[in-house]
Amino acid sequence: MQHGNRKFLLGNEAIAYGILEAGVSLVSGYPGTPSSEIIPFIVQHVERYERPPHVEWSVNEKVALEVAAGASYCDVRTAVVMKHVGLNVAADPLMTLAYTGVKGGLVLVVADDPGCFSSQNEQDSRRYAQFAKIPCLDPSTPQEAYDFTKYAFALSELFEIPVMLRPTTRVSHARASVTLSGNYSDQRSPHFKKDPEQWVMVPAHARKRHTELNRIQPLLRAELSSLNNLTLKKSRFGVVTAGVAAKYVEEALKKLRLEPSVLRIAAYPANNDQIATLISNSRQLLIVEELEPVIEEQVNALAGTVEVYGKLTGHVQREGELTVDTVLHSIGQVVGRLAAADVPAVLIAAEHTLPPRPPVLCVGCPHRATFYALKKVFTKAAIYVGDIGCYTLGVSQGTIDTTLCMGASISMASGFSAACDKEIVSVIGDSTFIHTGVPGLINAVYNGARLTLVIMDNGTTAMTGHQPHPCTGVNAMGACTVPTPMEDLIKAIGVQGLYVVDPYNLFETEDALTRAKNGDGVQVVIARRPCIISAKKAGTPAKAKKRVTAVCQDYFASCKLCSTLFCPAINYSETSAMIAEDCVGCGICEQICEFDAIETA
Amino acid sequence: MTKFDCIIVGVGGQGSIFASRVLGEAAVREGYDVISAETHGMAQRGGTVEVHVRIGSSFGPLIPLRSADALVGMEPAEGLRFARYLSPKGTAIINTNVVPATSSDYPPVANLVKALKDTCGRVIAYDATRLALDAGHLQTLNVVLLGTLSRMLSLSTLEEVVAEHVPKKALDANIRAFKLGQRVFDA
Repeated sequence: MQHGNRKFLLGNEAIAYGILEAGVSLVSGYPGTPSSEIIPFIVQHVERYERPPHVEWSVNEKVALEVAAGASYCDVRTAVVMKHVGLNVAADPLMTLAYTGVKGGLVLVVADDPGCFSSQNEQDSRRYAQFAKIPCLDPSTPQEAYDFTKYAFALSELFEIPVMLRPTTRVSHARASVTLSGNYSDQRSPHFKKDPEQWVMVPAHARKRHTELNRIQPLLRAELSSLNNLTLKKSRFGVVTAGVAAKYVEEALKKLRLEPSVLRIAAYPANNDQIATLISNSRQLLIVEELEPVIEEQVNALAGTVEVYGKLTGHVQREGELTVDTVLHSIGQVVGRLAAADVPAVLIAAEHTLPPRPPVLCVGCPHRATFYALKKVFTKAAIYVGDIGCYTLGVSQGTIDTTLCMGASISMASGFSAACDKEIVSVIGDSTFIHTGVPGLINAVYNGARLTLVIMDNGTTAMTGHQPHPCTGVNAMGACTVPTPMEDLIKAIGVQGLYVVDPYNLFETEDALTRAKNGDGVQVVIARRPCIISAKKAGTPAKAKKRVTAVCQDYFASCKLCSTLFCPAINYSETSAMIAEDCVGCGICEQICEFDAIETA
Repeated sequence: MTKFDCIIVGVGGQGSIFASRVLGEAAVREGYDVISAETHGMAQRGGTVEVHVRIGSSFGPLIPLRSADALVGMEPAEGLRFARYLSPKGTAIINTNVVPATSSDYPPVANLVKALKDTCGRVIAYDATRLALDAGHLQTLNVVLLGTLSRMLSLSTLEEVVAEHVPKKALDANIRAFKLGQRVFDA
């Protein structure tokens, strides 16, 4: 066995090491910030195994969890990785998998995103764990994320139940010194024992399994109490905290030189005895947790006459991520002290003069061209039903009117088309189309929707870091596999029209969109061009850089058409547009300029 | 040096995350506990990138307001955007070379530098982009600034860790960049 070693690791890499050291036989998942790096790290380090585990990007999270469940039933260890909203997709198998239980340890890594850094909501996966009645481990640092991952497999096998590991953005995307044991467990031998009463959830079996699931709940609470940490002090003020917020509490208390009793919850279901002990020692309790008031509700149920402060009383910020400063403010409110740091007025005034710098589509992004063509052909009057991916940024070009969840663009567009008589355009990426767009397309055709679907096919899952998907013909290990033929799939569904265009060719793209607009029923336009980041990596970025000629000055005041591209490589002076050094030569500005003021540099 | 909190900020693509990794890696190698917070995902697409690096800390990855020892701004507006994290005694190391923001007015750089001077201990503002080009490549901008920052730290392995993490063909340019940055601090 190797000796332990200390490394500077991203939380997600620490989790990947935990999964690998646990001797997994299968890892599945779907990319989503902040969980996306876990599977690529596993792939990177997989050579440590004599018999490498099966690692896959599944088409979506439901599929990923079901793939893992099958393997786990065979008594081998499995990990499933996704972001919080991915668990909504996987909720169906999860709820009943808690009933059947598992054999080989099954660890469900679900990364939450307090503050919505790269998400459409800030739901709390601890609620899902509670809902499904499965244990949930809540690490506060990359080191704990690693330690808890390894423990989660043992816990899963001890109780034959799926275990959730719930890192948040500030754990997954924290980078820290982590000590690894370097001890790799052997993989388990596969063995599936047929047992219909456990594995076949017909009502008679399900009722029995539900009883079993409820039976182990108190046992879980008792087992998990050892991960929590209760420090009792003389003070009648107590704090209950969890996750990365526990670290903020530590720092805030040190700054304020306060020494209250502290209960740090690291695992759910939280242990009632520990909470009761703290309550009996306290007069006032402050509950500091991110996202939902999960612990707070449990404390409230046990509190009696003890005053409980938290999100429900307005003492802890209800939305967004917590920080040391928000925690200082919360503690200050309860103990009656001004505790938050003062930002000088001169700094706040200067901050107000700063230009906003929101995320934008990259220079040379093919989506920019597609959006431009869409706006031109369908105009502002159409309704643009969007989806989840880089192309959500098309909102600045006025060509994204809705974003709800993965795959919703096509199904929602069906609803729009049934409800109103406007032109309906659905915008989705290639990976999202495969994830949950396909059922929506079948549904649209079957139910007679009238819409134009634009698949922005950049050949990758770009936003989350360029993971492959079935249409790319490459799997998670980087090996070639059978590519899903996108056009054949769409044709087989029975759409009324299908066009494939290169978005860098505006004429061709506008022509196809116009035909689709004039066509009947469901029309599909695939705008295909590799993501510019992939193209640069492959050494095949677009073409020659462009420059603006002096002609621009003659028409500049009345034109500025190129500004509707929102291209970060085009800057503007008082009198003219200018093209910056980072131009990759996509040539869209040159194609749209009505005065021929842009040429190859 | 027992603890050192540093904010590194810039625009996506300027190498803020790389700089923070190299800094953290060197500190870990020299026995410090390190924790940092990175920006990934949607926030990275040409937008602001904000990295907190805490050397010798056992707390969470986020630095509290008005307490960072140093602020490294790869771009002046981004530097000022995060100046509220800097301690009143802290040092701001700011590249004065602007990355224009699409469709919005940019305030005079002198105003941004003045606001920093009014609210922190020391401001080292210079055209680090120019020095990066002098060193041989625009991409060494982050290493120029890291060089300046290195003078505030007792991390003897920093230059060596930089050398290990840059592409071989860019090694000489990066070492030049590091040294040019160091000289700015000493000037």
